[in-house]
Amino acid sequence: MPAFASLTRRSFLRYAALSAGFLTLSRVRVAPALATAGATAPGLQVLTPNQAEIFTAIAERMVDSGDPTMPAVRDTRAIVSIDQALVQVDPAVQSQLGWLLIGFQWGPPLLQFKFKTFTGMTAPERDRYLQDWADSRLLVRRLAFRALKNLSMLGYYAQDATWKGIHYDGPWAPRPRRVVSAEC
Amino acid sequence: MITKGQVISGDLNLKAEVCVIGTGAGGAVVAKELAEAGRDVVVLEQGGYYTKEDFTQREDEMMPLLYEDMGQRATVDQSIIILQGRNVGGSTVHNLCYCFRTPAAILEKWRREDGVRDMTYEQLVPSFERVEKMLKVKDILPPEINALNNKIREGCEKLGYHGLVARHNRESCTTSGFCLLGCPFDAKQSMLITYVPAASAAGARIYADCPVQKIHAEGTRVRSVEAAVVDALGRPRHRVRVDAQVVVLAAGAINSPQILLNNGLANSSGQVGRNLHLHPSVLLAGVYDEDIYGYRGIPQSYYVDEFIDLEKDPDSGYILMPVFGFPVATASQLPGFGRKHWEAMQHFHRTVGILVLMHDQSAGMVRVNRSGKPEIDYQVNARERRLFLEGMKHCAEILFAGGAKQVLVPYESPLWLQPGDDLRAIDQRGLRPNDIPIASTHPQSTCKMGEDRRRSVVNSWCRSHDLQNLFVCDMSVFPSSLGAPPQISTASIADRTAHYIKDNWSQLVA
Repeated sequence: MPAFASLTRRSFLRYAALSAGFLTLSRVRVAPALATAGATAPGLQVLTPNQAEIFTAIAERMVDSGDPTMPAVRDTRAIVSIDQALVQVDPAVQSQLGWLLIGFQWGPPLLQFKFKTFTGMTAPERDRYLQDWADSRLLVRRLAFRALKNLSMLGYYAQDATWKGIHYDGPWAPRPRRVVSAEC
Repeated sequence: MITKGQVISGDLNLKAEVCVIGTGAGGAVVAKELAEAGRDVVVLEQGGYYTKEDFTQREDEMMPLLYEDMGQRATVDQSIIILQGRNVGGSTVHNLCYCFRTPAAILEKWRREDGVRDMTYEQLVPSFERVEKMLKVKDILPPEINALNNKIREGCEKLGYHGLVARHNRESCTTSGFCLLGCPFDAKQSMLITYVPAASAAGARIYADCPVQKIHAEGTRVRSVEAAVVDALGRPRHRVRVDAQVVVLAAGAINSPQILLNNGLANSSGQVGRNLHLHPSVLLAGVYDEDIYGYRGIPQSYYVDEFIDLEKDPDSGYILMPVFGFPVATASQLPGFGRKHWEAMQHFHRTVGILVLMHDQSAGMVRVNRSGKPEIDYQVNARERRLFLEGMKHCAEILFAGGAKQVLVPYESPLWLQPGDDLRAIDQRGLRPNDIPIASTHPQSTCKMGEDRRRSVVNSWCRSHDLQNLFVCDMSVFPSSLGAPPQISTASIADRTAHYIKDNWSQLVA
C-alpha cells in the first residue's frame, strides 16, 4: 500500500499565500527572478530555466546519498520527469509551484537575512536550510517541504539509472509504447 | 462497446433504461447483470480506458493514469493519503486482490444497529458465489507466497500469533509483482477484464473520460444524468446527457457523495458524506541481512488476524498486513532527506513492510468546496490512536521475530529500533497527524444503508430513501467499517442490488 505523500492544490495554495506575503515585502529584490519567468526551459513544458535550476539544486540535496554508484541528479532526466508530472496538474497549481520555488530560493535573504539565495549556498548550508523547512513549526512550510521532497523523489527514483543502486529490477516488459491509444 | 472520450467528437444525447455511474467493483457488476437481463444500459466512467498494453509497470506513468489525483488525494489536513482508482475498472485495476467475504458478525451488526434487512451471511451467499466465480477467486498456493510475506509469517509463527493465507482473484499469475500499477498480463481478474467486457458483450454502452456533473431530478424521480467529456488533462470538451429510467451511482465513497452534494440530492437525512470510515493504516519497515526483494511475487498473501475478533467485538480491532513499495513510493514514504533518507533507502531490497489496518470507528466527513471538489475531513480518535500504537509494537515484534536487524518507525524524525530495544519508545512518540505517514485504500460508509431514513441515505436494497429510481452501489453504502478488504463485499452487494432491480423492474419504472 504505497503512497505518495502530499503534493496537493491545498498545500500549494496555503504556501502561495505565504510566499505572496514574502514577495509583497520584497518586490524589488525578487524582480530579477520573476523576470526569467514566462519561457520554459528547453525540453520542459512547465518549469522555466530559473525554476528548473532551483528545483535541480533542491533535488540534489533531497536525494544525496554519498554513494558514488548512484547517479547525480544532473546526469539523469529527473527534472524532465518532475516537469512531466507537473504538466498533469491544474495550471493554477503549476503557477503556485513556481511561486513556491521563488519563495524557497529567496527565503534566506528575506527571512534569515543571509546574503545568499538557496542556489548560492554551499551543500551543508542548503541542507540546514532544507532542515529548517522540514522542522518548521508552520504546517504550511512543512507541507511545502514535503511537496518538494516528493517531487524530487518522483523525479529521481523514476529514473532507470537509479535502480541498480537500490537493487530494483525495474519493469519486466521492455520500454513500452506511449501510454495513449486512439482506438476503442 | 467501450468508447473513449477522445473519439467523441460532439455532444451526445442518449436514452437508456439504466444509467450506471462508475465501473469499479460496484458499477461494473450492476452494469453486467442488468445488461445480461436485457436492460438497455449506459455506463459513464470519469477515468480513462486503459488495457494491459498501457500498463508500463512504471510508477511515474501509471500513478497519473490509474489513481485519483495522481495518487495525491488526501484529507484536508494532509495527514492521510487516500488511494482510489479513476479508470475503467476502478480500484480493482490497482488493488492487491485480497478476497474476503463480508464477515457474518458485521452483517449482523448492520442488521442490529441499522435495521438492514434480508442481508445475512447466508442470504448473501448466492451473490458471493456468483462474484467469486466471475473473478475466479481461489486460494493462494504456498509456492506463490513471496519472501516478504514469508518473513511475516515466520515472525508470527514464532510469537504464536494467528495468521492466514488469503484468497485472491488472479489466474495464471506470472508473479511479476506489478499489481499496483495495473496487470500487464491480464492475470488479475479485475473488473476491467471480467465484468466490464461482459457488460459490453451484453450490449452495455460504456463511455470513459466522462465525469458526471449533474443528476436531474423531478419530484421523487431522477430523469437524466449529465457528464462532461474530458481530454487527457481533464479539460471538458463535450457533454453527454443520458435520459434514464433507473440511475445507479457507483462512483466510490468520496465521489458518490460529492455528486449527490453538488446536486443537492438524496440528502433529506443530512447523512450524505458523513460517517466516513477509511481503514487507515500505518506501516513499519524491518531491515534484514538477507535479500528480500519484496516487490517480486504476489505482494500480499498472508495476513495476521490475531488482533481482531469480530464475533466478540464487531466494533474494534486491527489486521496486520504485509506491504511493499516500488522505488518512488518507498522513497516518498521514508522519513528525512539526503544522507539520512539514504540510510533507509539503501536497504530497499532487504526491507519488509508491515502495516496496521484499523477497523475504524473514527468517523470523518466528505463535503464539497465552492468549486464542487470534495474535501475530506477525518481524524483518528484517541482510542484508535492507542490501538495503532499497540499494533505498531506488535509489528515491530513480528519483524524482529522474523529476523529483522533493525526496524524503522517512519516518523518525520525517524525512530530506528534494534533487537531488544524497549518498544515503549513507540508509545513515547505517539501518533500525531503529519508526523507519520497514514494511508487509506478503503474509504467507505458515506451514503450509509439502513431502514431509518433519518439516519441513512439508502435502504437495505441500496435504493435512495428520497428518490425512487436512484440507487447507490459502492463502498459508500456500508453502514460501518467493514473490518476486511472490501472488494468481494462491494461486488456482492452490487450483485444483490442488480438482482433486486431486475426482479422489481416494473415497479421501479412505474
